[in-house]
Amino acid sequence: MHAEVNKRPASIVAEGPAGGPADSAVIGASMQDPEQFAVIYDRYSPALHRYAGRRVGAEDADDVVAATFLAAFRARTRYDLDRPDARPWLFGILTKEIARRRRTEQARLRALARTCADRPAAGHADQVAADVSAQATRRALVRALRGLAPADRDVLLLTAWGELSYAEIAEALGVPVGTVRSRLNRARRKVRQALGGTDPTAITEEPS
Amino acid sequence: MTDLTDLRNFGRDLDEDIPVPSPALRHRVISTFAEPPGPARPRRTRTRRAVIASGVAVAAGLATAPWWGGAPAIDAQAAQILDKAAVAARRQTPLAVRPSQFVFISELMMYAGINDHNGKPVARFYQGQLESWYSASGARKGLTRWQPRSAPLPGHPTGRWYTTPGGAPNAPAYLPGLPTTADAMLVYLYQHSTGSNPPDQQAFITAGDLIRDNYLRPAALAAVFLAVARIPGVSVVHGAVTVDGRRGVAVQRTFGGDSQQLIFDPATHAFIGEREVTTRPFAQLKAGAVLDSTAILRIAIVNEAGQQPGS
Repeated sequence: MHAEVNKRPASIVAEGPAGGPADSAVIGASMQDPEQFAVIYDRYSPALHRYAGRRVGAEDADDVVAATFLAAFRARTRYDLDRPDARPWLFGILTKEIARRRRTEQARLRALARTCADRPAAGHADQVAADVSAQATRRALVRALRGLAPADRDVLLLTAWGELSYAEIAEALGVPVGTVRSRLNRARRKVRQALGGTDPTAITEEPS
Repeated sequence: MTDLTDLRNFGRDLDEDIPVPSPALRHRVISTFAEPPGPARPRRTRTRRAVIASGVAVAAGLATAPWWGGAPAIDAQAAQILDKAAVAARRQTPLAVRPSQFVFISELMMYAGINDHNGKPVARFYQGQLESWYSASGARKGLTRWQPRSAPLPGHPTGRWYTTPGGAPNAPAYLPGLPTTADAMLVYLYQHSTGSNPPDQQAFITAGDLIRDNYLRPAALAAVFLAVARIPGVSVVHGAVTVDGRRGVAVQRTFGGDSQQLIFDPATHAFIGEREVTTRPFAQLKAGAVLDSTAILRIAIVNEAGQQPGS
């Protein structure tokens, strides 16, 4: 693997992560030299794999990530080279791949709901109380996630787990920022309602 | 706030059961990152080049002239060429297309890949024949194959075909709903333009992309030519040569050192190809060098990806 992209003159490309060339420059170079796309894999596979694992489980995470990068590689000729950061684009493709596995995700959430409910608490009284509270929170979260519309769940989890901004989610999903905002508000309202049953203080508005 | 914090904590709890991506996964994924150079040609090469070029200008601290104000109205000769092209387009017999079918496009093309050599951009030219099968509806997997004729990459000798299954974009290549009047098409071109070029230049580029990679019905194709005639700053180029050596007459629009040209047969007025010419020295090339050129050899409708059209 010859990742020669770092030889690109700084005058042509914007800077990318850790001072390397911007993702857009790497993707541009990969049009001529496909192997350069490995740089994109190395930059983003940990974050994408972690996010996929949380959503569909460890067993399916590898497949989802492999499918995402294959789709990204094939779609790279249509990448908008004006966007230096490829992370939103990759999360958008990943989201589509996860959507293909909606059943897997639902099965995982069902399983998580069961483990939350069944795990016995043991130890000191304080610890037991904390565990019970944490389990109740988890159960509420899983219940809320299961009840969300897929589009709302995507926006919520891209925010909480993907650490994407409104604008980045809009770019990833190809929807207006206003749509992201309204989906996120709706999803958060439902999660807070679910959490409200276990912790009344959870119902607080985020400032600004 | 608490809900998002709870979710983040929940996510971190879940991470305990998820291993980090393995070297085996890396190998599995990266081994798919290889293909012959041809099919990797971006659909919007021109947009890309313009971006790189403008990046150079900005980085070098050059003041670029504002794109607005000063684009002259189209010249009469260019308008006349486009009018004739529209008439010729309307005379075409429309092809019947079913959504399950494929648009087959055969092109001869050359393009300059801009590589970096010791920090300096250097153009390397590729030439070959590209055959593409684009799903008419966008719903089926397309195919491209590429036969290099010169400057192959190592391991890719000239003369043989390299196939990339699924290498054609998954976008509909038959666009029956396109506008058929010049006014509506003009609006369409501006609205469907993406890229960093000024709107007029981008609309011209979008017109080229539209007719290069899709099958347009005669009325829509004619509307494209009439719409292009209304884009400010379009002018005529005589003696433009397509990559297969046909001499034509072209209409062009120039921005940022790039002249984008649509080439027509001087006798039949049919659209025969296009090219991009640099108007200033670039990547050790002189002004006037052709950076990218496509000659359309054949457009046909077939049932399956990979199927050659009957003669």
